Amino acid sequence: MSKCNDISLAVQKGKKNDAVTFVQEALSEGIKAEQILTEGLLPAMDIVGQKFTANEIYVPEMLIAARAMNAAMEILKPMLVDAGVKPIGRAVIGTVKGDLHDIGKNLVRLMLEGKGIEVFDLGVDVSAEQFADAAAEHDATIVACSALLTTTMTEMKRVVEVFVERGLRDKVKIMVGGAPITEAFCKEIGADYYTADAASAGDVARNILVSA
Amino acid sequence: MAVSAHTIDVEFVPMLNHVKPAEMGADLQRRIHTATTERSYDQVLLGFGLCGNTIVDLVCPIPMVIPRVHDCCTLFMGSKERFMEAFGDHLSMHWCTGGYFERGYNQGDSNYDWDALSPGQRSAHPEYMQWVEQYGEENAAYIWETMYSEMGTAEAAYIRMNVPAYNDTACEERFSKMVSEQGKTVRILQGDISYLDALINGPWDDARFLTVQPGQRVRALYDMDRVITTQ
Ligand code: B12
Repeated sequence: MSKCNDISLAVQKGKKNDAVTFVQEALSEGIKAEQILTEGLLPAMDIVGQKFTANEIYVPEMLIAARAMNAAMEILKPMLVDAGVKPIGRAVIGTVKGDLHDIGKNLVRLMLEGKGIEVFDLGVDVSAEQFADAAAEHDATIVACSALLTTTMTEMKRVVEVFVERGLRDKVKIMVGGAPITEAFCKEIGADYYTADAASAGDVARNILVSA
Repeated sequence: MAVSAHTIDVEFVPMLNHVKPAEMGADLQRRIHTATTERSYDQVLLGFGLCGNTIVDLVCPIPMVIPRVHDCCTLFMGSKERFMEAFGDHLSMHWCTGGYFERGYNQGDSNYDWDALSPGQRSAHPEYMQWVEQYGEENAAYIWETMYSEMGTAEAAYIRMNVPAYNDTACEERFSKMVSEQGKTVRILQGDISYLDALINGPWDDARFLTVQPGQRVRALYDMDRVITTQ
């Protein structure tokens, strides 16, 4: 589908206005919102994510690609809802207490949304208690925590502990990520899933909800 | 170093690498390798903290001493205790020292005009100009706002190192100006050179320093006390 390809390229290059125009064109040509999402936007962010992990592109490119994706998503969202595309599940996401880095967290949110998940973004500097409160309030299945400082990543352990204390641990899957986080750390603190980038975070989250 | 009882060769690593921990780690390993094969030394003293896992996996053919810190902020504050006292409740508080300011903290090591960091003058900023060229004006403005948004804390800290040969006043004033333009207040903290001094001159007590023996690798613990270990 060449229109979806155009959209994908515009997103990859961070050309927000082009991305928006192409999406509108595609819609008027009768291409379905869902198809634009799965064949245009999501593959674009997959590619961007891979290039970022491979150090082929850096934070600025990543940022503008995410912004273009976000703008396109804003157009598609109401249509996906109208088309009866129900969210496959709910997630809460945030950057842990003491930490204000949010670029990676925002990308993960985008990818989860792209996979049809309803995401409640708690922002930055989110305490373990706030994660638990929000998960309970929104009846979320996924709790996604981001940390970029090695001094704040230990807060993720507290998140796991608070869910245990409140008897909520079995109700949720806890996902952790951010540049300093590793698979070993995830296991050690008793969280459920770690992924190295936003695209794979989307895949893992989807699998959790689909198999639940 | 000039007044040290030991003979020390110093190698500086460009600050730019900080934004890419994985590359910085590979770069450090190369430098350690080159330095230790070119001349015979007794020790390598690594003036680095864990720094976003930068030093994880490093190896060294001779004993290597590394401070048990998450990043250089603790080194500037002089001890873990003093770091926790000032930063424990705000681990993301933006901070700066004279050296940091002069070299351009998150920006690489070119000579930035720091006054240009205020939003009104960003167009004069070399990094900004490069973004405009590569991604267009609109995207550049967005990147700028995201990277330099007034993140969280209402305060930013300037750490005065109080070393005899260095006058903090100029940097302190410019930093204060920049920060107040962002609507934040500056908190002046008293730094303490003794941790750095101990890295250069010893003693390398186990509470403050990790000694990596040949054949061992650096591993992260992530706690506030030991921070790093070997395997
Ligand atoms: C950009 C950046 C900033 C920006 C943040 C802007 C923002 N809005 O977030 C600015 C310039 C403001 C900043 C400031 C600081 N920073 Co900073 N920053 C970085 C930098 C260069 C990149 C982080 C980033 O955004 N990467 C891009 C995103 C896309 O990647 P990511 O976050 O890793 O996310 C990806 C994956 O990890 C994953 N992921 C992320 N979250 C999650 C969550 C889940 C659940 C999953 C599954 C996956 C996942 O998916 C993402 C996409 O693929 C890092 C170095 C680095 N390369 O990591 C330093 C770094 C994190 N910063 C650091 C420091 C020290 C600071 C300061 C404290 C410095 C200071 N002197 O004041 C300040 C404090 C903040 C403040 N109050 O201003 C250090 C941390 C050292 C430590 N102790 O651990 C680092 C490591 C740099 C270094 N080597 O020294 N910083």
